[in-house]
Amino acid sequence: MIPPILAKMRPPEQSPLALADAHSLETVRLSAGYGERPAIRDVNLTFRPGQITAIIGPSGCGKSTLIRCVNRLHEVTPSARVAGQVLLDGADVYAPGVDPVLVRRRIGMVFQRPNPFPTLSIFDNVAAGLRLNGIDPGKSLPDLVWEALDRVVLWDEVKDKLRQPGTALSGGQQQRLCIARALAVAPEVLLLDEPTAALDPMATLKIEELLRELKRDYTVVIVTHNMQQAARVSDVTAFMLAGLDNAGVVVEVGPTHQIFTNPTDRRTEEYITGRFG
Amino acid sequence: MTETTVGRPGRPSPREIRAALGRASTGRRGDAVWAILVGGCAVGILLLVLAITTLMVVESWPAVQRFGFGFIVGQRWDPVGGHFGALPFLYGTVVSSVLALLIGGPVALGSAIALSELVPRQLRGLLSALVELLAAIPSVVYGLWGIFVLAPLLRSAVEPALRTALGFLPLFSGPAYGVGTLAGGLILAIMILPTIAAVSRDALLAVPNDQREAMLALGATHWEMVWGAVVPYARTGILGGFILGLGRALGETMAVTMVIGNRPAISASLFAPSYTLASVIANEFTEATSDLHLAALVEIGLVLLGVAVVVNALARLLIWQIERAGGSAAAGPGRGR
Amino acid sequence: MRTPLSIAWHRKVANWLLLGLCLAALGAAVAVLLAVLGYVTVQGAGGLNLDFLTNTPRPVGDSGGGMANAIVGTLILVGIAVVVGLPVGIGAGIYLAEYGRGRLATVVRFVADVLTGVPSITIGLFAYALLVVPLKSFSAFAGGFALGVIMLPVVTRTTEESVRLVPASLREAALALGVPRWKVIARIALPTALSGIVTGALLAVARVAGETAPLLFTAFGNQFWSWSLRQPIAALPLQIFVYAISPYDDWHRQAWAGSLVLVGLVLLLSIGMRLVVRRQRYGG
Repeated sequence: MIPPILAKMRPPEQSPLALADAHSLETVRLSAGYGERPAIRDVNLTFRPGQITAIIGPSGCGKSTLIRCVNRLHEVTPSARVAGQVLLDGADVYAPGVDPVLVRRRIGMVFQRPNPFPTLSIFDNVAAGLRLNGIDPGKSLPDLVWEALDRVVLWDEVKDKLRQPGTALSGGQQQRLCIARALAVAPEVLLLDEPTAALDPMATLKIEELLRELKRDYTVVIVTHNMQQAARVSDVTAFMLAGLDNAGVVVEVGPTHQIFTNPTDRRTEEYITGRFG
Repeated sequence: MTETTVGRPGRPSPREIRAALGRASTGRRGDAVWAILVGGCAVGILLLVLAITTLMVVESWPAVQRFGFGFIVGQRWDPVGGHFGALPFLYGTVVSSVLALLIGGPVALGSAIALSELVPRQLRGLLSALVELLAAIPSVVYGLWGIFVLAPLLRSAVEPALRTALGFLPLFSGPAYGVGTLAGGLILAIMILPTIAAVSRDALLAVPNDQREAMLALGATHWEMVWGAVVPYARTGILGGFILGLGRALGETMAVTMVIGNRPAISASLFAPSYTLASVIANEFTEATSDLHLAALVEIGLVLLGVAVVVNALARLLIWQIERAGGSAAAGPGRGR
Repeated sequence: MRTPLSIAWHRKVANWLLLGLCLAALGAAVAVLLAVLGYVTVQGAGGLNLDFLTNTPRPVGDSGGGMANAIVGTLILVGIAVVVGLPVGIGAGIYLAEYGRGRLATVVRFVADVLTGVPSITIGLFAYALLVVPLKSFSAFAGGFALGVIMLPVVTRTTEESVRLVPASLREAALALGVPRWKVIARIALPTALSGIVTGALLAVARVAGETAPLLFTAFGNQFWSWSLRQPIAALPLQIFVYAISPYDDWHRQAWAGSLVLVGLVLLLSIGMRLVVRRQRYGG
């Protein structure tokens, strides 16, 4: 049955604010694949501001494909297909005439392996999103970089080495640098694809702390294969599973507390207890 | 939370940043310009090849018209009298290149086997680099070495020995000057050795280990394993290497010109001087006596181009096959053992 | 029936013999390399002096003089070759790496590979027909152009390989920031691939610096200093060739000295680049 540890979990945190800048994200019958192979089918999920939504499931269930469809990164792969809608504040990002470049500027992404730009310094990495898009904040640039690094609690560790290459940091620091880089362009939504998969436990905890901070200002979606992480960090959890045709579908979605203590679908319960048992 | 909507004095607020990002160019035009620019360069390569072929045909046209197919089989090359037949040069090119393959090929293959199967892994990189260094030496330096080191050696020691031992064969008959077909073949053999060795070594290294182990499990000696399992598996790549080497030999100019004697005569003996397609162009072009002479030389260039392209294309097709099967062009931490 | 547990002696002998032959082949290859380099060094050192490095050739029969103008000429020709061949080669290489899936890319790739095998003397004929005939003069520009054409396919392929090596994760990081595709290539992928591209370019330079055949009727050679692109110009390999086939001992000595300089230049580039590549692959 459900291990006692989960029964002691707190109910989801209350979102303490009414954000003036609230941005919601919703997928409507989203399906995607590569050439002949489907990856996800008919995904209907809502991601709300002020909370962290976790997407869990075994490998191959399409979690990564799902969030890559959200910021229109999926279509960069040559054989990629997408169908359905992704509504950012009610507007479909896949509507004809919408430039994927603009979509990606509104939605930030952090990847599984930290990927700072090796030819840029730490400072330039954070500033990259602005500079590469032709925006020159002039004298306020150092302030913006400071703020981003401060938010990810990296400033004190790197303030004396801002000119060093972005790769001169430890894995956990690099990942926080990547988060700072994403935050510097003031995204409305933050997508994280298994952000701590390549990190050690200490670094993982630091990033989870950071995410709990960030959810106050962003709509945060995190894909993770680590269920304890989902339980620790998220407010809402969606469980995905690959169907008979290998396309991933959402089996169940709900408040994290409920998913982990009282799932309604038998498959969800099997997955969760299987991992803990 | 107020911080998300109101910026600090002087610092843009997130709203302002988002607005600026929304306004900033999405690069539609940049994408198009860039694609055209690099695509144009790629197309430029195709145009270049087209231009080369066209210009050569145009410049050689007077000779093509005059001599037609007889150019290829004509034996007489007489600029003064206006007779131009390319057969002696075709003969010289083919003989010297085939000789180079016969001498250099086995040595190259042996070196490749040594590099991939015998040499300890730590030394493999260094020794491979040394062999490949042979390819870095300029052709004219090989020619110089050929004139003053190789040819005298041939004249004084090697060729007399060959004549004594095998002089009854027409191959080793006639006076021996050192310079001649044998010298040309030897120099070419040295020059194509690194090419054949490098490609063959890569092909051999790409052979999966279980092939070797299966052969050894049957009780084979080391050599029997190499010759019976590894080399046959890699034979496509090795063949590609040989053909690539042949292609290089066909087009080689300077070193050959300096040691082959430069006489347009067809002779059975390896000691006799000879003349290759590339050499006659090198020697006569700047002193061509007539427009027809020039056109004939360009036509020789066209023949050379055609032969070299066909041979190289064949080699590339074979090599592409081994590249797709998993070999790579690195002398890195080796496969094999 | 007892099965033999040891291998028949003739198989053992064959094993040692044939494997030994392979090692001997490798030894022969290295020996030849050392022989050639050795002769060039020993013979060349004799003629290498300040006179040689600073003077132009003397008239036929006079001793002394040097190849200063030829050394400078080679540098000038290589410079022109780089201007002609590098931009187009890098551009084509980027195209093949970034847009390289279509039919056009396959054709271009194949043609570039075949082009590397075209005899350099035919490229010289092409440059002659294109630049020497219409302008009615041998010229440094024609020579440099021919060398540039030789460099072109080599640079294309090495650039393609270098750009391909840039990890997809870097491109994705840039794309996820909303950076337009062309900037992802120009500002992220290219700088990351830069060292590989430079290595490939320098290797191509090392190759064309030693080319003689295409210069025979383009650059043509020059006994004097020449700084004009539209005039014939001296080149080190050309000078070596002319001196080597001449009947004068003094010129032979200078040919060896020139070879030492040329081989030194080429080897410096080739070995230098290999060291850089190894350090990058195994440590950097």
